[in-house]
Amino acid sequence: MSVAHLGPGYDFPSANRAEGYGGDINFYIQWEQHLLIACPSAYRAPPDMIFGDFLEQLFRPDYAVHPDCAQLDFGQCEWRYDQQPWQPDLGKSLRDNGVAHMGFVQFRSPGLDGLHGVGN
Amino acid sequence: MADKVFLALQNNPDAQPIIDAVLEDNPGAVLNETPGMVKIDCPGRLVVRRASVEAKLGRDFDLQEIHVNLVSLGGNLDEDDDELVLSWGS
Amino acid sequence: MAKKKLGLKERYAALTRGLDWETTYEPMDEVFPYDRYEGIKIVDWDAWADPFRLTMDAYWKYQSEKERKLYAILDAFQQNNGQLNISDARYLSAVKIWLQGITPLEYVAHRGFAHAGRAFRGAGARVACQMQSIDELRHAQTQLHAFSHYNKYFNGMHNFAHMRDRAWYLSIPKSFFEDAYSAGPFEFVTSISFAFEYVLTNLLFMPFVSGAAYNGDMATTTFGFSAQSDESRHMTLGLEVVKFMLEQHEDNVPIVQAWLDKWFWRGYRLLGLVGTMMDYMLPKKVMCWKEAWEIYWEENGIALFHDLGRYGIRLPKHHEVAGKEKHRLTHEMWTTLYQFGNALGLHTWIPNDEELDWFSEKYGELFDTMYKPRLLYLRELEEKGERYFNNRLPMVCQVCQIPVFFTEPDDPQTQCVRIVEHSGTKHHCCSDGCKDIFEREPEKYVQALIPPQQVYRGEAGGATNIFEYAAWLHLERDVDTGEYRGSPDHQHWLEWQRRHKAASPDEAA
Repeated sequence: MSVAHLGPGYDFPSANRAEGYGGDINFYIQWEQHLLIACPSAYRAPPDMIFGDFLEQLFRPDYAVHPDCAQLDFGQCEWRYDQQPWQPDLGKSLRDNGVAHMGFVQFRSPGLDGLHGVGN
Repeated sequence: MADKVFLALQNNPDAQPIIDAVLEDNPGAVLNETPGMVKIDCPGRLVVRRASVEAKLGRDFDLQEIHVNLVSLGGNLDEDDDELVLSWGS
Repeated sequence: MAKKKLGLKERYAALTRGLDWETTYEPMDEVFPYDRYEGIKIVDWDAWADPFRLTMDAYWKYQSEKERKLYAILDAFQQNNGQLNISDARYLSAVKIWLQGITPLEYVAHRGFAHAGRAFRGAGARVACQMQSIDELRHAQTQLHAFSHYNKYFNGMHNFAHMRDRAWYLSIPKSFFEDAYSAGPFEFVTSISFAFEYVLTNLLFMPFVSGAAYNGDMATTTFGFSAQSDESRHMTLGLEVVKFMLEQHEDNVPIVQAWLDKWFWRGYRLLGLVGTMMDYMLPKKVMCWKEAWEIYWEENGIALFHDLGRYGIRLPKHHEVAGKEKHRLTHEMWTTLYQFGNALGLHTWIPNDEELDWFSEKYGELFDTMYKPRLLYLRELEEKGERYFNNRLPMVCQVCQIPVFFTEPDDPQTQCVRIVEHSGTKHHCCSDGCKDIFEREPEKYVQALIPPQQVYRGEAGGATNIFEYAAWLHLERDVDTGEYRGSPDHQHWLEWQRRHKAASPDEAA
């Protein structure tokens, strides 16, 4: 399907295309079964940033409110990227791990299953 | 049972004669009160009759006066000078 | 003998038939360029009828009577310090959402109906759009008048028009209406008069406004019911326009069905805010969101769709998902608003024990096992002086623009995220409903300005974090934003109540 329109050609570039980020990328991450944090989080970061550094320097402080966060070992997590199984190398950059603009990273932390037995 | 139509009016003295007339003219009608308003639900069809409202009011009544105290309605509407009808089904 | 006064049907016919004409200097399609490109086929415009058969003189007469009643009450409310008689100052958060999010919609609806009225070549449709356009302007004005009194005493209401164009949570209602009025006139009228007003606004103007009455807000109650009586005309016309399209040509049926699918879902998503106002922002409760959904959608809304079954119309897609979400929608929405409170022009809080008990009674086991412990944990943090704010910008749905907090229809422990792609760029949706809407018109939704992305692209006044962003919205930190307890609104309220009680010997004792 496409948009019903008058006149020729109804096509516009995405408002959020990669060129708007001056070389950085905009991507998203979600810690599954930890619904105390209501939504996946959005980040802007340079693609050369080491994935492990991103997780420790940006992600972990944002999620420090959750009591599971202190014990969180990213090396033990089960990862997905754009909803497909994924095995990132924490020592490599976002780019080398395949994290692209508008990418969606999700992980589970076996043994740390959220609060109250219901993934809070 | 037929799906219900409804008429909701502000719960004030102006609307009371209309509410009374509707409840008398529509045996299946049920009055639901919440703060500030009443909702009258009725299976299939509900009628507001000008003559019945006039009998309660003791004066002439134009059915379009209902707009002043109307809150909402559900159902296919048909209105003429004598009746306002809400119904489901053709 | 002189002819008797015309009857209602004759008066309406005199207003809407035979006053227009076929143009000759210019082709009709050039004069009315917008009423055909959507694919809707109209054989006979004269088949359009307003079931209320309201004529202009009657319209002015009853509208002016409504205005006199309304303003008499607003005057009384203001002169008698009505703001002191509300149940609790927490209630004002609902008023703030209304002012910031809903009142601007009324104004946009005014513009939209003015445009649709110009676009239709049928006189009946033009008259209907004209009345509705005037109604909508009236709603915007009466709401602003009513709320202006609260603005003297409470924070967060000082710059609603500025906020409307910038704030992330106001992009939810804003994008809804911009989607509608950037469509053609038939889709616009279907979206607003039918899907939004007929199917959904009852939930705002009936249980919520009834709740406003119960919480002592005479101003909102009065304009709310006064506006809703206009809405009942709009709803009636909305149903009429849908039946008109369906009766005019069988080719219209699939187009109308697709619009009903789209606008039911968009309207339902928008109503999540209303549900949250009802459940969390009304200190005294009338009915919960779940009950309201059952009455106004599952009973009254579905009855309407049964009636349209004779034209080949089925229930809107994904309506069953809304049924599954009714147990959790407002709890998920509130904890989202609560944690992003540093960028909200209203206050949030953890409900008190009495309110938690009410939720348990209304929502049962799911509330007790999931949301109550979540709320109590957040309360514990607050009591330790660590009130939680999520200061990291969230993922937002490309269609409804709500932060992606919804959970899977059959699994309230797993967040629901759908990835869509168009022209090589990925986007995210909160649900299958929004994903379907995106995929039907991807060229439209890729243009959406998604607030967190605007921030990261440097298009939000250069803000780089949530506090700079809030300042760009003209929100003062911890005055307009943040936690209710201890806020200036809360402190003022306590002081006013203290003085009130001190003046009353019975209560002071």
